[in-house]
Amino acid sequence: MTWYLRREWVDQEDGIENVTIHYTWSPPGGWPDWERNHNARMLVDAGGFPRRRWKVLRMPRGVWDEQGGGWSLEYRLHFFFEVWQQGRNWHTDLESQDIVYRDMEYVDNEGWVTHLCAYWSVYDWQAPVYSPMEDPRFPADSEFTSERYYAYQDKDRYSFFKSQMLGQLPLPHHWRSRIWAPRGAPVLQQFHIGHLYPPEETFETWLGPDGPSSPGGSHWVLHL
Amino acid sequence: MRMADDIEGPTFALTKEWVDPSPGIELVEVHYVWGPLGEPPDWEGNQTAVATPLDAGPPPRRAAPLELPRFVDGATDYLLHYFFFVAGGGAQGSTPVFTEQIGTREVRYDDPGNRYTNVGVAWTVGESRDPNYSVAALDGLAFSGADDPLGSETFTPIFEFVQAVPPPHVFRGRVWGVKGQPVTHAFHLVRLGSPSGDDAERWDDNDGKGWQLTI
Repeated sequence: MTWYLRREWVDQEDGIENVTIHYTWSPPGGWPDWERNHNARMLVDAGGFPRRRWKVLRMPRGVWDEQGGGWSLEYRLHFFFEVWQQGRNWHTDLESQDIVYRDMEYVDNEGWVTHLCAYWSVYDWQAPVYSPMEDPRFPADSEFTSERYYAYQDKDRYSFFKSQMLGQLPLPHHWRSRIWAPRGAPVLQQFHIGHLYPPEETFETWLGPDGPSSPGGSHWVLHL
Repeated sequence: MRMADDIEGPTFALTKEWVDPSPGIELVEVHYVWGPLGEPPDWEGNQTAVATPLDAGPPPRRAAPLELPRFVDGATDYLLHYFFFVAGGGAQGSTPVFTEQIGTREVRYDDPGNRYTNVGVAWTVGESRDPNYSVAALDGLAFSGADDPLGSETFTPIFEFVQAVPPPHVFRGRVWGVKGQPVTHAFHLVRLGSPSGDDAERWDDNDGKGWQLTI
């Protein structure tokens, strides 16, 4: 699954009709190669004064590093804004940000958890992501992996078998997933934690540093 | 440059809205995949987008931004399959799968005065506020606005080439959306590279209302 990064623009002058963000990625330390990869997105006009504009960018989980000959989970985002203003257009300076990752882990000592996601968002809660978590010992080819839960039609059946299979794994269970962000940017994070079997014990919550909460409630602030 | 999770070629934005049918809903997430016409969905590697609150209601409304390819196996028409995953209060479930046909329509801008060198089309799908952009091609000058495989959506300085095309000038672009649903668009009119220094840029947007069509 991918992740999202929201970019904002605030008009500093009158007469701006439109703003487009141009962006690309490179391996760590690299420069942009606009000939090979060039994305452009018009920003959404949110109005207000000064006028605010935004766009949620869909971000990759890695880029291909030709020199290294493999996928690089960390990379650089390069971007600039193109501004159409009073019949002319101009560009902001190029900015580059290192995109880095962190492996998240939730340790379940009791084997109580049947469903778990990292719920996280960069800067604020306006571009959130649910990243399903899994114990790496859970078989990846099973129909009961966390990622397959959502499209699984019979969720009661899924929860039963997931619970049974988790019960075969020695404790503690190490639920893991991965998150990305610009280096140093605040990442807001909770665990969406579920105990969905047996049915009479069904419980779910969004867990933060202050305990059970709601989405966007008590949360950790990480800096990768 | 290859990216993990990459969508090949240019994309467009499509927003899916959700209205909470009952209190207590805490999570709504759209899961979606696309594929050729006539083929069932393959949910392995599906895309996801969290529906975030548009307004508190009641009832609360949420919107999820989907990013879709403009071409699937080289075709502009293909199928979008999606469902909503909904959770709250200890209950979780997925809606039935919805399938919609993605298609395109040509839009045309006539420039009888031979004034503009480049024409773009800004468009939104349905009720979405998330704008998209296509570069239109001038009849007789195929390279002037062909869909850029990189999706760069940038203009090239082609003033002399445009002047060499006999008038009247007709620019054609494409917009994408869901079959049977509306698309609102506006023309971005640009005169670039004029040796007399009268470069210009303006929007033809039907007095702010935009031009409407149905895919």
